[in-house]
Amino acid sequence: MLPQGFGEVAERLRRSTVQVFSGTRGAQGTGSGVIWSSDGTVITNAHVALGDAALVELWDGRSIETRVAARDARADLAVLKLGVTGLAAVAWRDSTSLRPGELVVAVGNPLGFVGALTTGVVHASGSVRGLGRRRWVQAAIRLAPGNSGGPLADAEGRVVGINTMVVAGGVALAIPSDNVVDFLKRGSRPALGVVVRPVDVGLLVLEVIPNSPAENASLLIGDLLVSANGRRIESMDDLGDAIDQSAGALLKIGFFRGDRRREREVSVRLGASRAEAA
Amino acid sequence: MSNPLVSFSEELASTVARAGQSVVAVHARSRFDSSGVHWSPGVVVTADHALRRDEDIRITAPDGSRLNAELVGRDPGTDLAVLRAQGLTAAVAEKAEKTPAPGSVILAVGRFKDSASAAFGVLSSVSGPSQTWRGGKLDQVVRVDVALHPAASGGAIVDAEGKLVGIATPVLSRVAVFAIPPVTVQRVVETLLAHGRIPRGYLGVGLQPVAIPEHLKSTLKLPGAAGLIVISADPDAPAGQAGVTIGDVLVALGGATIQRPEDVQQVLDSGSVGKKLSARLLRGGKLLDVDVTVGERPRKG
Repeated sequence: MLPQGFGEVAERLRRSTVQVFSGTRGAQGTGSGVIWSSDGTVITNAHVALGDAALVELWDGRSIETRVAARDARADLAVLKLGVTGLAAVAWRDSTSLRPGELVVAVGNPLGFVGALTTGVVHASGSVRGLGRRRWVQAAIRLAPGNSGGPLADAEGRVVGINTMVVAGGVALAIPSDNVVDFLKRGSRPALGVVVRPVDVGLLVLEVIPNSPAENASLLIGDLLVSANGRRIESMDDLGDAIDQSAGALLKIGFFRGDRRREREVSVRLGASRAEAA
Repeated sequence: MSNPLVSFSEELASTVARAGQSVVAVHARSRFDSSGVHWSPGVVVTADHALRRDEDIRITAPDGSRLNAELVGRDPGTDLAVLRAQGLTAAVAEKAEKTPAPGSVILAVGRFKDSASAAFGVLSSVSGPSQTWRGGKLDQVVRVDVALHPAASGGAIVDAEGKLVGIATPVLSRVAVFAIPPVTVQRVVETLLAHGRIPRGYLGVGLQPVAIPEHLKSTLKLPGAAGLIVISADPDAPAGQAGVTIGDVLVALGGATIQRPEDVQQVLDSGSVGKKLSARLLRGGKLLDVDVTVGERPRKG
C-alpha cells in the first residue's frame, strides 16, 4: 500500500533529522530537530532546546555545540544555528493543503532509538479543545517524547509539521509548517517566563522560570493571574495577546495571592528578544 | 513402610478437609458460585467482585445445608464483602498467627457444589503495606502461586497446618492471586459491621503535582522537592471551609510530607474521617498551617 520509493523518502528524511540535547539547572531536554536549510538552520521545539545552548548530533554521527538563536516559547519553537553548511535540508509543504486521511511519516529519536520511523494518517487540521485557538496538524500516528521537535512529513517527504505533543487518545499534534515559516521571519517573541494552567478564575502559575521577567517582577508559584494591562485574562491566548502588545514595554499584571479580596498588581518589563522559556 | 508420597497426599487431603469446615459456597452470581470464609460466628467474608447482587444471596454450609445470607457491606478497594448468615453452625476459621515465608506450601480451599475444592501452590511473596489499584489499603501484600478456580474466589488460602493465611482474590493483580491477610480482613469486617461501608476521607480540592522552586525549598527548609498545587476548591467542602484556596501548594498533611497524590490518599484512607488534620501550605512564598476537619467522600449516584 505504500507509495513507490517510500524507502528513499524515509531515508532522505532521516538524514535531515537531528538529535538535540540540552540542559541547564537540572532541567533536561532531549528530542529531535529538523534541518530546515542547508546553511545550518535547525528547527526544534522550545521545550526541547532548554536554556541558551544545545548539543546537536547529525545522522552521520557528527556532534555540534550550538546556541539557541531564537525562541518562541508560546509557539514552542526554537532555532539553532549549526554554523555548518552543505547539510541535507528538508523540503516543506504548506500544511493548509493537507487532507484528512493523507499518509504521514514521522522520524525522531523516541526512547533512544535514533532515526526511528513511524507512519500514520492525517486525522484533522485545526484547533484542539483546551489548547486555545492555535492550529495544529493532528495525526493518528504513534509518537514518543523523543519525537518532539522532529519532522512530520507527507508521502513525498515534504515536512508539514514539527511533532510537539501527544494528546488523549494517542493523537499526535504537530506545529504546522507555515507557523515555522512565520516564526523564522518574525524571530523570538518576548516571554513572561511562567508556566500556567487555566482555572476557574484566571491563569494559575505552576512554575516561574529562573531569571525571567516574571521572576524579576517577583511573581510566585501559586499566583493567580487575572488581568493584563487592565483587561481580564481567561485563557492562554488572552495572556499571549497582552504579551505581544507590550513587547519591549511594561506589562501590568493583576493577580491574587491567597487573599481573593485583594487584587495585587505588578509591572513586568518584557525583554525584547532573549532566549527565555514559556 | 509407607510411601512418603502417599502420606504427603493424605496429609494434604486431611488439611483441606479440616480447613473446609469453615468454608462455604456463596451463590450470588449466575455462572460460577464463589466461596466465603466463616470469619466470626454468623459472619462470612467473601470476595466483593463475585457478588453480583445485593439481595437473594444464599450460601451452602460445609454440612450441605443451605442458608440465606444478608449483605452487610462491600469494600471494593480490598475486594472484600461481609455477609451475615444467621444460624450458620460451621466452625469459625482459625487464623494463622504469622504469614508463612515465600516458598511455603499453601492450599486454596473453596466450596464448589457439594464438595470442598482445593488447589495446591506456594506462597510467592510477602511485602509491606500497600494500596491496591482500586484504592484499598492492604496491611501486607501476600502473593500466592496457585491456580484459583473462579468458584474458589473469596475462599481461604491456608498454610500447611490448615490455618487461614488470607482470603483469595484474583482481581487485585493481573498476574497473581492475592491472599488478603487476616489483619486487613478484621479491619474491614469491623468497619463494615459498624458502618455498612468504608468511609473515605475527603478534602474537596483538586490537586496537581508541582515542583517547588529551589530557593523556596532551601529558605523554608522543606523536606520535599515537590508539592500539590490546589487547582480547584469547593468553598463548602472541608478544605475550602478551612480557608484553602486555588494556588495554595500543599506540602504536608497530618504531619506527613506530601509530594504525590498518593501521599494524600494514604493520609485520607487511614481512618481520617472526622479528624482534624493540620495542613501545611505554601502561599505567596511563605508557609501557612491551617486545620482541616476531614469530611467523608460523597458517594456516587
